[in-house]
Amino acid sequence: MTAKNFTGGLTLNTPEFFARQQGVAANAVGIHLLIAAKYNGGVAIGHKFNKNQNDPREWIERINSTSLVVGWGDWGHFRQLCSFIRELILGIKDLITEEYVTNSFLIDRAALLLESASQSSQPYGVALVFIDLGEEKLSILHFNGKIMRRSQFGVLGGYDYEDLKRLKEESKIVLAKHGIKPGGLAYDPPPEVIQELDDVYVRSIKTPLKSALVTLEKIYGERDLLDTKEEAIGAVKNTLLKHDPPSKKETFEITTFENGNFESIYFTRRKQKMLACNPSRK
Amino acid sequence: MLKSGTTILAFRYKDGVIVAGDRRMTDNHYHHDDYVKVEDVDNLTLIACAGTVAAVQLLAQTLVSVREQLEEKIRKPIFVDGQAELLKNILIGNFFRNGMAMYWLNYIAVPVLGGFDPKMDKGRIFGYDEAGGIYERPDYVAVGSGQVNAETLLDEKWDPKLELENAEELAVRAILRASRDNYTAPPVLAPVTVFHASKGGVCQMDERKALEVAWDIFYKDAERRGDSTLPEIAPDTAREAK
Repeated sequence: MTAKNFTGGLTLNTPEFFARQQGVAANAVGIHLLIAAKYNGGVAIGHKFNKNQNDPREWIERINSTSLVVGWGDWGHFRQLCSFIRELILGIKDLITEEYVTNSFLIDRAALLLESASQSSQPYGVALVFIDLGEEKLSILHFNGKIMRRSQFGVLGGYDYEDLKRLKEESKIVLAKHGIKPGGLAYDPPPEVIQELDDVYVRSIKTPLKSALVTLEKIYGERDLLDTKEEAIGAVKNTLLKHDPPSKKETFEITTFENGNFESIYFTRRKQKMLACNPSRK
Repeated sequence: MLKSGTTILAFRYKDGVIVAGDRRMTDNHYHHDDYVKVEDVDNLTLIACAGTVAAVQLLAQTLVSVREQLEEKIRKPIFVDGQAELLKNILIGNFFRNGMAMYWLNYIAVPVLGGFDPKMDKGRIFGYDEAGGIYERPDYVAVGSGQVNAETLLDEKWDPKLELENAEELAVRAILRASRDNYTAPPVLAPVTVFHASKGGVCQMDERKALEVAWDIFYKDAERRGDSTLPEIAPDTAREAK
């Protein structure tokens, strides 16, 4: 098993290398959330926004007057995928007119590309959601090429992470309780200490994606669509405020797409305690 | 436009489009009057071609095949507008691939495409040249060696509000006029192939009825000329009388 690297040489594609590359891609998609919530006649898309790094609506690529593709993750990879999608659109447009560009066609091709790259241990670090206002369901495309379809809403990112600050503090408490000074032991701690430390570790894991899904499912209930734009904006805003992990810039952008037009609003969350987590995360 | 031995025509009527063609296939000094030149590409679209038989058959087959493959990929039916673009691209591809050999070998097909567009809720017709030039006609188009005569009649008689029966009669009449050309089969010998495409789908005019309409026009022409050499009754009716 080998994977071709960008210099044209060959890399040995071991299971460990493959798993590491999948982890790198997942890391690129990251712990922060992008939420797309459908409402009657449109869709509201919300995510964190840093005006020093991001342009307005830069994660949204319009396909036609009723279809969008929204990405989240590595910006360079997203632009590459958008170029690929635009080429597909041009190909169909030249052959049989733009009217016959369908999301299913674009999704199938994009999924093939992502899966192929993932299998070669060169995954794209981006997840996509394809939205067509004329269709009942949105299609979520993971970085490994897997497609998930659902009605109501789509959530990208929000991968699990450890709250390291909490982990450190609670571990100190457990060690102090057992009279063990932090800073290393010359011997293995007793099993009950290990068990308590494991429990602390599990409690430190945050699941923004899962929490966001639960919140949105409660908001939607049995409905396929929210009734109004304001309700959709409210749903996205509340979910982001509650579940998006803290970061340096607590600004968010919510863009609505309706009747072929975009409108964006911005809001800020009160700064929360910073995480002492991996600085490579967004 | 290349004048290939045949006459095919298409025009819009009140509920859709009519596509019609004569039956003559010419082979140098010989001909056969049983060749059907109009085909249904799908349940809303018709194609008719003038040209070399091989080129014509390949063109129609290619259009159907490529359309089916694309519909499989995009998961959406392709109506007459998309098929018109596709046919244009096929003709352009053929032209650039074959080059001047097309003309030397006479390997040419000139199609006419007509169909009902459910998005616009009306019939649409497209004419082409052999190199892939496309033009959508709001009224009618004719192709082939009998084109001039057919179009002259349509200039006078065509109306977008024609009902189906009158439209079919007009198609037969136009081919009959075009049959002054040697390479167009007279409709009184070989029934004109007349198809219509409307919201309800594609349907062919009964061939017996096409013959009867042709004979009816033929006899009325004879009466007008005061031609007394023709029998009083049409041969088909005479057979029934016996």
